[in-house]
Amino acid sequence: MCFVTPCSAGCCRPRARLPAETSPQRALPGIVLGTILVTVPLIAREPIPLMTEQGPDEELAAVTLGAGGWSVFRRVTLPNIRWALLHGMLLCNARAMGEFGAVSVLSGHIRSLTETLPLRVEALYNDDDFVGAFSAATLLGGLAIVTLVARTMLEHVIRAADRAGAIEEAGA
Amino acid sequence: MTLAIDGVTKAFGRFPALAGVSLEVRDGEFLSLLGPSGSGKTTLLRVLAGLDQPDQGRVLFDGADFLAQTARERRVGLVFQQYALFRHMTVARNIAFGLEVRPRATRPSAAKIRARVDELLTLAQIDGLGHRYPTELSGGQRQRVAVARALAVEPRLLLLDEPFGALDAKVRKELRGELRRIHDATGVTTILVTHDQEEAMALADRVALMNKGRMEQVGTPAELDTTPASPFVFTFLGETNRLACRVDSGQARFDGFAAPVITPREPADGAAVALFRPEDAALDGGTHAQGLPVRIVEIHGRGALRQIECLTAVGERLTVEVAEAFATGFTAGQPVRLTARRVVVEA
Repeated sequence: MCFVTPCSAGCCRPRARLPAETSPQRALPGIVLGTILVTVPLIAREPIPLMTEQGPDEELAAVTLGAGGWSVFRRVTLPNIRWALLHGMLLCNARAMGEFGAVSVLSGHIRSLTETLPLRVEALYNDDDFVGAFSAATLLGGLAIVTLVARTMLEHVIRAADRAGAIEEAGA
Repeated sequence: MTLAIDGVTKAFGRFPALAGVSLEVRDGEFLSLLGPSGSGKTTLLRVLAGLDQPDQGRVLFDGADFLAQTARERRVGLVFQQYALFRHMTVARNIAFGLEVRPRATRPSAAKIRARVDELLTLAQIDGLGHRYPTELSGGQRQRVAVARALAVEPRLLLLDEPFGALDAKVRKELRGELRRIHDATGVTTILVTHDQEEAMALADRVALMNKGRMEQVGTPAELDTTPASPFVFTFLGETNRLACRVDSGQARFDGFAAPVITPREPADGAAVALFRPEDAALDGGTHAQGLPVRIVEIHGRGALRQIECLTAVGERLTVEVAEAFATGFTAGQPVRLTARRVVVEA
């Protein structure tokens, strides 16, 4: 009967496929790897166009002033791309929270053990547990807001650090 | 502390940017690398800064192999056309950068760095701008910061890559004088890359004129002016008129006058094309005047000089530059006689 209706096929398949020897411990690296693979490119997508536009002149100037590779990266490259990098990380974080496909395949889908929030929303929804599904979805929405708040706070912290540096010099 | 460049070549793909360049730069000298775009002057500067490695050739600084040292080790100050200031740092931190990145053992104390920054702010005449960010400065001010930053590490060689290229004419002139003053105050050997012949001739002790990856001529501005090594040098350094002539034992003969040939030193006899500057030509409106018969077409210009455009009988257009007081004696349409006091002959 499982093969007859598409709906029941969708509900049954993950549980039917779960082999007995799959352990939750083994699923975690899979989830992490899958998420990294799908989301980390998003971090690079923000700073790369910025760096292309800025060109290598500042780094070259730093080298001729005697800075070594690590010093150039820490003092020149990284500060120049910090906003783009921060936004990239936020995008990456948002994607990781919402990532479904890769995790769904790799996690094994064991309730409360190897599940991520989006998977849980789907599972609850498929079980007709609408209250549960909407609660979990609301939690996801809440996390998004927390991320935005965290971002604003981070920007304040970085700006304040910049200002402190400037004031210190003005005083000097 | 001389810099000796010997037979340096560098090709980008099949394009030879440097085709065997040799040059000696003296200690404390202000040398200008002049040339049209694509002549290889910026490539040579990058080789000296350690940002590019040449394919062949040697560069010795004070007898030591410069090419074996990394850009970090060379202690060369480099100033870019687009300033390349660290945009997230204040002016003071920009200037202090070269000192702050030194390893702990050789790094000056914070107080010493601050004193040095103040000293450089004064030298570059940007006192009071130390707490500003590069975006809050004008182009001229930014370039002053870039020069101060390069000087902070007490470089053995100061390299400037078209430093005034992005500035307007008035600021450019002002900064030119400043740069010369800073050079004279610090005594640092300076190489200025530019395509502006006026800038090079006005600023430098010696000018090295490059063309197509080769050194055309190296000499003082006066030497380049009075004894240009080739017609290219002559045409690159100023306006020129072209006129057909006949060369005969070192003299260029025209219809009505003759002029000494300054380049090449021993011109081949026969038909040739002569080049001469508007300011080396003269007009005479007298009835018994000697010279090439021409007709004045137009008089223009302002200030102390006037350009008088003339046409020869066969339709060649020639420009003569004269003092404003002298130009009042002429009117458009008037037949006059033209002479030139020195010419260069194209091979």
